[in-house]
Amino acid sequence: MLQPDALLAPSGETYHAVLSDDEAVLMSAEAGRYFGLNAVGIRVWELLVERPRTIADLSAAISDEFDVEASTCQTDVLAFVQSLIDNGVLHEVER
Amino acid sequence: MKSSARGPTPYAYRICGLRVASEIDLPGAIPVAGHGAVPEVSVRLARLPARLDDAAETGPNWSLAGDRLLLHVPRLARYLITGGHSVDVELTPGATVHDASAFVLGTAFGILLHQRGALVLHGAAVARAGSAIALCGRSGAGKSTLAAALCQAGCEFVTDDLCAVEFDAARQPLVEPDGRQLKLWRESMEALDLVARQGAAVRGGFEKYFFEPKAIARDPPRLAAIYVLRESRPPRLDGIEALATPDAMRMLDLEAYRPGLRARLGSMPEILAQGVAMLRHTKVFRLVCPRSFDELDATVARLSQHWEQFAR
Repeated sequence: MLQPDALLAPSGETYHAVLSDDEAVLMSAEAGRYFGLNAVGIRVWELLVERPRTIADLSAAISDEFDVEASTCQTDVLAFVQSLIDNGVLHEVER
Repeated sequence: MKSSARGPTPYAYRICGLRVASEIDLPGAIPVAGHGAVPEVSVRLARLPARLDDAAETGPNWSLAGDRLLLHVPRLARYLITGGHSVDVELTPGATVHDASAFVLGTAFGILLHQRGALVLHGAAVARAGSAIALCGRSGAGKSTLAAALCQAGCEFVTDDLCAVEFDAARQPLVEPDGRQLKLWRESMEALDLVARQGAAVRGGFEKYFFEPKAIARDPPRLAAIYVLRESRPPRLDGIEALATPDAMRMLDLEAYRPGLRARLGSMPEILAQGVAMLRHTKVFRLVCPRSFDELDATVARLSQHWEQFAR
């Protein structure tokens, strides 16, 4: 189970490209797979590309920028990063 | 490997938007009156090695060393495609220039376009009123036959095999014509009632022929949509389905010209950026239809109607 203080970073060769304000595509070069990102997903990914972040950090930033209630936000961010981990484009880093 | 000094090359063409000077006749390509400017691509007859000694990678019939790719087509020719600017051809004894030329316009040019970093799909394209649709799908899916049927129904012909996508100043994706002829199997000619207009055989010993559609797009039209052809077999039913962006991106990888080589010749960020730039303007659909020629008119009608809906 992923903890809110787990530090997360993009895995391997991944790239993203923005289609519009609320749609982007994430590409895993190794897996040859693509993932769709919405506006929140785009922002989460941008934050992770800048530097490794915890779920708590990500949730705080998203809650603030998108004006979402903090606990709902953390649940959604957790589910989103978990799906990225499951698909091999994100991993937990040791501190 | 070097071609010897010769006089001016006798043939000049425009292929997928590029100025091409060729020492050999390339039937089906669009001839031009001669290039005032320096050609972007040279096609030459040359002596070629059996293999590239410094090859970093090799496949069943190719080897790759830096910006050079050597392709061997048994009993026909070897082709050396270099840096996105030249195709050298050495015929196998007994092979004809005509037969070897089909691979220059197909595989060799597809590889050359990848070397230039272009987005190239394996498909046919037709246009009307400056708006084009591309028809992709595996070999034998009926791309050229459907394109010919659409041309018979009033569309302009754009490409048969290599669907090279370029972007204009406004970043709109355009399809560059790959020639002025479709290549059709004899049975397609018969089904479309085109036998009287059948041209020369594409390659000796093959029942595939050139067919010149009545109307040809003059300027590269905007690529409005890509339809990926799939045969309807239970449980897959006839219809047209829009693909979500990640599925459309995956489809572009699968429908690229020689996808395995493209991945080796291109950079991943560039492939992603091009695909996304195209999807801002071009929709991707899966077109599930029967392969039977009897149903061709129905497929043309369905496709025309669908295209009408979103191309406005």
